[in-house]
Amino acid sequence: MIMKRCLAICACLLVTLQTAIAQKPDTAQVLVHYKFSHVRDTNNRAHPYTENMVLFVGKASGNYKSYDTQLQNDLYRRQLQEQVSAGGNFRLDHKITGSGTEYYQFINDKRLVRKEMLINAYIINDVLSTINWHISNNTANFGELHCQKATCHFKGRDYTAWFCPDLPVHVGPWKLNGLPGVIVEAYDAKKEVVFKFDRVEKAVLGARKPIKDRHGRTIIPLDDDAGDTDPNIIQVPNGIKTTDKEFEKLNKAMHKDPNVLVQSMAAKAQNSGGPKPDIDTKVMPQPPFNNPIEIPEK
Amino acid sequence: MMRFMRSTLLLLCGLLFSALCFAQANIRGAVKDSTGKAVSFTTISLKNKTGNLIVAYATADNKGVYSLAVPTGLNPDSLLVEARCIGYKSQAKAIRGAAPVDFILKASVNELQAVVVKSNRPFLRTSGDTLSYKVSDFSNPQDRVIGDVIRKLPGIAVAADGTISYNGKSISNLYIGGDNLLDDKYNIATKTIPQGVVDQVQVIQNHQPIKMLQNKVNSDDVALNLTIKKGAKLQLVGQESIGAGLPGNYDEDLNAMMFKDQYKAINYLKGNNTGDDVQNDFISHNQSAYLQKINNDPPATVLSLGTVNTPNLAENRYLFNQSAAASLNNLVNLKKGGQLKVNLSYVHDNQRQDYREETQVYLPNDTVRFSETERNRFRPDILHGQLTLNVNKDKYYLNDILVTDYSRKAEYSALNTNGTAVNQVFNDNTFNFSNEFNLMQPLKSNNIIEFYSYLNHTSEPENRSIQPGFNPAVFNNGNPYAQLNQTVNIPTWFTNNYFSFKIPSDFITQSYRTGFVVQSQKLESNLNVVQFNNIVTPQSDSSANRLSWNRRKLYAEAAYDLPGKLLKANLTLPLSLQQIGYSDSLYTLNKSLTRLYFDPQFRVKYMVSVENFITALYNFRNVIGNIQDIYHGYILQDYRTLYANNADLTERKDQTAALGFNYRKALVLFFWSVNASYDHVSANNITSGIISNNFQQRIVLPFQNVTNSWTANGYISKYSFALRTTFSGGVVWTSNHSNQIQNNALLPYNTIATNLNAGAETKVSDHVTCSYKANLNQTSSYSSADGPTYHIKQLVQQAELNYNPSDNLQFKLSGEHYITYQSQANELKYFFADASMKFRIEKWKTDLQLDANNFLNVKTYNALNLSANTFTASSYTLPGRIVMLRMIFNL
Repeated sequence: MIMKRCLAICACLLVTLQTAIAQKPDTAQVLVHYKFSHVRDTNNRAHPYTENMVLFVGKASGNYKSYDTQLQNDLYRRQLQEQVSAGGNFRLDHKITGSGTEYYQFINDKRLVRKEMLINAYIINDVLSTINWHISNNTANFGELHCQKATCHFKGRDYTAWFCPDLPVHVGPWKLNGLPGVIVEAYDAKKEVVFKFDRVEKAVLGARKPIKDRHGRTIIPLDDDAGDTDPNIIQVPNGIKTTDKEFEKLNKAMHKDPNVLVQSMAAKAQNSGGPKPDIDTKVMPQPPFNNPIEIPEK
Repeated sequence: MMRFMRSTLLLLCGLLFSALCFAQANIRGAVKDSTGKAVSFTTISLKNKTGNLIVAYATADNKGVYSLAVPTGLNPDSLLVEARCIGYKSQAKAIRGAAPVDFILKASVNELQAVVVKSNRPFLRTSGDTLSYKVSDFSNPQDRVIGDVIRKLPGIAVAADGTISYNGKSISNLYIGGDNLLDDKYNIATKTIPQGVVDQVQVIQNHQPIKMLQNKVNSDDVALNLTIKKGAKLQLVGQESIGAGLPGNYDEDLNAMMFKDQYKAINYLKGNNTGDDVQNDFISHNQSAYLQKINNDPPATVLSLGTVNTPNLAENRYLFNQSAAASLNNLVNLKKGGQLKVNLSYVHDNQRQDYREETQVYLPNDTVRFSETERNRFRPDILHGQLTLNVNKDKYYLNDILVTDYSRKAEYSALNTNGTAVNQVFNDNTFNFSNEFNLMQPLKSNNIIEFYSYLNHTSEPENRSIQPGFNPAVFNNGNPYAQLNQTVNIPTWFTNNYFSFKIPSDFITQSYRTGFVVQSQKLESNLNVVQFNNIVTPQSDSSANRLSWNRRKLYAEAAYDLPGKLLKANLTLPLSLQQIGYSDSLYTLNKSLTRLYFDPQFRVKYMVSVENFITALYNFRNVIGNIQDIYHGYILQDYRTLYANNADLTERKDQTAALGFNYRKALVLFFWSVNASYDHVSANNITSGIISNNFQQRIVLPFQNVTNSWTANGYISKYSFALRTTFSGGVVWTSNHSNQIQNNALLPYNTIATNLNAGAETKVSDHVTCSYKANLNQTSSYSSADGPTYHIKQLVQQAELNYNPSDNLQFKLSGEHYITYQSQANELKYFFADASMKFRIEKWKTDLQLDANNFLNVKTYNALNLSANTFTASSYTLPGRIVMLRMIFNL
């Protein structure tokens, strides 16, 4: 009996070990840059919302996030390091115009994870939609990448996507996935949602250097949960697990009464051992938004 | 019996069904690696053999097993099954009936990256109207200054005089770090700024520099902007070059530049006698367009030495010079948002020419010939100063430019024409200053008021003397004499002032303008004969001028701009009342005329797609002559031309219509454009010439005549990623129908000129680059009055080979070949070759460069020239071989 139990335990351990080894995180080899534009207000088509986005492409997963935010974060870290090395109090404006939403596509597990930033990081797990693509014979060159065209109807819109079979990872921007190549450009029939190919580059690996002050203590910036890990590692970061419905409620609340949420951030800072920061929250009036990306099917 | 029949029927159905199943084939198989382990989640695609396109796909499961359905209607024999997985080399196999298609994949590293590295080719970023070229994508170690890189960019062409054009259109301005340091004298920048300092070259289309007018008033200007690398913005930048060589040559270039956001400067001092004309640095590329816009036509130089044209070769092949130039260009961005700029330049030169020429003029009944040999010397001293104050804000625009020019030119010519010696001394001093003031401000109602005032004074006293007594039969009643002096000066005052009111709106911006122009000039000339006893007498009683001229114009203009995203249009409707009065007491001349002119202009640009557009324009212009069209006293313009007018002012009506199409695909670096235009000019008089062996006399006859010209041009440029080559080409075709009167005969003439050019720039390997350019010019002249036709063709080919074995050593070999063909003569062929070697001494951070220019030592050049009915054959002396050693270092 005991022998059987030992064997069972060993077997379980081995299995977990196996899966643990198998859980070695995917590292991006290639970065695809997009210029994302979305007509949020149909009365103002001349001025769509635009943002520079980047897709980190791993062996079987992808991480789609804002490139503007990444550049702004990098700049903030550099400025912070300079001020901290100089010593004394520091005052820095952390200005972020990009969005904090990130999409993680895990192809083999059929998982879609969405990360949102609302003072804290929120993680929303979902199933990766199976999209019914129709491949056509059209080809085009994007830079030097030879691509083929495919179309589908997804979340209320008719999308055209160009995928590159030479990059055989089934990922794409936002929630688009499932083609036998990375989707390098996609747009809907009305050109209201456009992921326009900007460029592709090799991933340059290397963890970010931790910010240390003159005494050698490590400083962790408040808004940057990614911390010092290498951005090329495609791994869902730590965050509060929630559902889509719960998050929408939180988002609405934020715009109605910001100070309630700000208290949670102050609480978090005190937990990390730092002084209670002096925070003043203002929520800017939002421009009209009558055209969401996902349209409910009729 | 029945049971047997039923079972056979069932069997038949079964067989049929299974046959159908076979028709809808399912390809199955397993994917393993070379060790036998399963390769999970492989992508399996079905591709057609012909186009290599994917028609269906599936993903293997975590055991490497897959099942893929062949779409109905496709023949399995035309398809391949391909297995791809990251970390493994892809494999494709054919389908064999229903047999499983298994794969054994070989491991491979960095597969994704290999695809990406291949696509990191030169790339253009587009953002709205701006196109950016990264300098490092197109430069190579041989490029010293940014001008060397700009001429290699796909879509951009640089002419011999430095004029830059983008997809067939000349640029309006070259900005440095967003600041306008040099106005349109951008050769200073392209020839001085080191290429290592520039990060990107940006092309900005529809550039509207005035902030207040952006998105309200159209501009179809194209501007270039050089963005400076962050490191170069903080320090002093300079590239110094000191050179000496044989036979007795020098070439120095000392410069200091600064490209901070608050302060920009390009200051330099240079001198050489190797054929590099420093005056080319200060060419004002948009000067004529600017003068036409403000309606100023300053008087042109009246006199000249009458010397022959320069050879049709690159300038450094024929120029004998001793030039020196100093240029100071400094710009400061003031704290309150204003900008102050000072540009000063001084040029001194001593040029000489050594020519021989034969000219034949063909007339219906006979041919007139003359020949000459020349030794000329030119000594210009030119000083130019400009002070600019500019405030360019959304709520306020102020611009004031104060310019002064002072130059002294002394020219000497020893001429021998048809056996007679003619020595000339020509002094041409110019002094002018101008001030342009422009102020724009928005009112509370969002409308914009503008005030503009331009004032200019020019004076150019010219004096030319000819010795010994030239052609006494014509100039001194047959008596020999000592010297002939011609003096001319046209001091001019000009002012243009206007008030304008703009009403911007989201749809059409309206502008209403009213103003006045006053031009006041005096033409004074004297032609004097100096006798042997030093007494000075006027050549005749009709060889002096005391002409006064006044032009006044009152104008009102309405302009409508449609600054849309897809359609941009502009309609300008100017109405003007012109009054011209001129009088000369010597000839009891006192005339005045008043005209009401309407000169509509229309242009439109329509975006056919995101990157392509169509342009069209129509202009109607009334052009009236100027003071140089109505002087009655004879002026000896050059030693062969005695010129006077005896008719009223020339009045021309000039209509132009043009159409063009522009294509661009920035992602693959492909540009092409085509343009066609038609110009119709009708004038109320025609110049008539009387030519004899010793001089030409021209008078103007009141004869209505019409000139029509058609022009078509095309430009194409493409970068081939596979061949690492930029291909470019262009074609220009012009047909001109005009009339000429000579010796009292009316001769209609048609001239057709064609220009074809093609070029290729290749990066053969990381160490070798080569380039090739060919330029073909063909001119033909026909007379519809049964006269003979003439053709001249010239082909110029240039090739260059660069070899850089290491970072410290560079070799260059280049050649230039000229061929001239013409009907009724042998062809002329010339070949010039240059070689250069550059060696870098790391310890001193200095480059040593050894150049041998024209090392085949070609010392004479003959050329032919055909225009209308005149044929000229010239022979020139060339500098020959020059060997130079230069030391180049950076600050």
